[in-house]
Amino acid sequence: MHDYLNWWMGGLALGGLTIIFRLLTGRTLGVSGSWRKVAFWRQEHALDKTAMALTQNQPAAANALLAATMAEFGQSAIPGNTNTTTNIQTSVEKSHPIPWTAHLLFLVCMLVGGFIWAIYTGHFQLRFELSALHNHITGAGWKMGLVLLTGGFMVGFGTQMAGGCSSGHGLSGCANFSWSSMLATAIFFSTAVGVSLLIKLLMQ
Amino acid sequence: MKNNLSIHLIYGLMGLIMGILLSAIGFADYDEMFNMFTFTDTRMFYAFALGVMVAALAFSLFHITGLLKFEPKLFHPGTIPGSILFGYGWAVCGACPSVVFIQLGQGKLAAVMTLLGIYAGVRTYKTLHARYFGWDSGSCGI
Repeated sequence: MHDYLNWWMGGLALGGLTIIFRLLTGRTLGVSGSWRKVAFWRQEHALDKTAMALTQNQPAAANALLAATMAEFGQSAIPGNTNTTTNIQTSVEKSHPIPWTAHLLFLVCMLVGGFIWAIYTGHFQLRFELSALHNHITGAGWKMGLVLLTGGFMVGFGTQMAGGCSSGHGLSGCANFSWSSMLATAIFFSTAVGVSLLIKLLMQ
Repeated sequence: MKNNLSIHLIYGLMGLIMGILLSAIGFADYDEMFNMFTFTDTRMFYAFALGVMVAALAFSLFHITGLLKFEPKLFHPGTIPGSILFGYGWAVCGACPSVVFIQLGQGKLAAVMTLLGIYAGVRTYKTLHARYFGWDSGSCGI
């Protein structure tokens, strides 16, 4: 009925996205991390400002650190004054975070991407329910809203607790040969399979 | 350091591509998700597995050539219970943290409820973590 990508084209594209994201941003792809930064934008905003101030005033920051070190440990604690400044500079540059607004843009552009695809393929339809099947499973109206609200809560809480979701643990974590990610992926996939099979059983 | 504008452009472009790609594979379609989880149609399982394998191959090459390092995630007491909660939520909402936006973009307004739920979940977890759990979650790498 739907004209979705076949498995190998979809797989190659998913892998390609994970690789390109890593190369362009220098970070591993992970959507729940973006969620955390957007949900706590106030704190992130303060962090971004501090980092920005630090990078703009690197000589001042370095001198302040140098002065504090000398006051605490004396002149002998500083081996070569010239090297110290450059070391501090590089560490400040490395720790500079991605601003939270970039994460917000990342999430909002996913919505736009979904919209573009739906318009382009003729799937766009403004409607309240997810699908007829989902409606049948949860019941209509407020029941469905309640299921989605509690389910969404578990998605939000669970991904933060596990430290990743299907992109952070599933795609980039597994591809980084991270044991905890492979475990997490196996667990959330099998839980979802178990719940869905149970739903199917109860529907019959 | 990359400048601010280029970081925003890159993240925006990546979001756009991801939105289109996940839609085109079918990850934002509840029926397709349900068919995957009940093994009625294993197409998306294979797509996901192939995606991981392709990325793993590339990351291995990067690692060997010294271009980039592996970045493994930390195992901590929250990994297992968190994954179970996420698995349940994924099955009943058909949405992971990215797909909820894509569903909204496709015009499925019910995803607003999922969105509110995820927001509440993220906020609640951080508060509980700071007050009660407090284990090292490698917070830089989430």
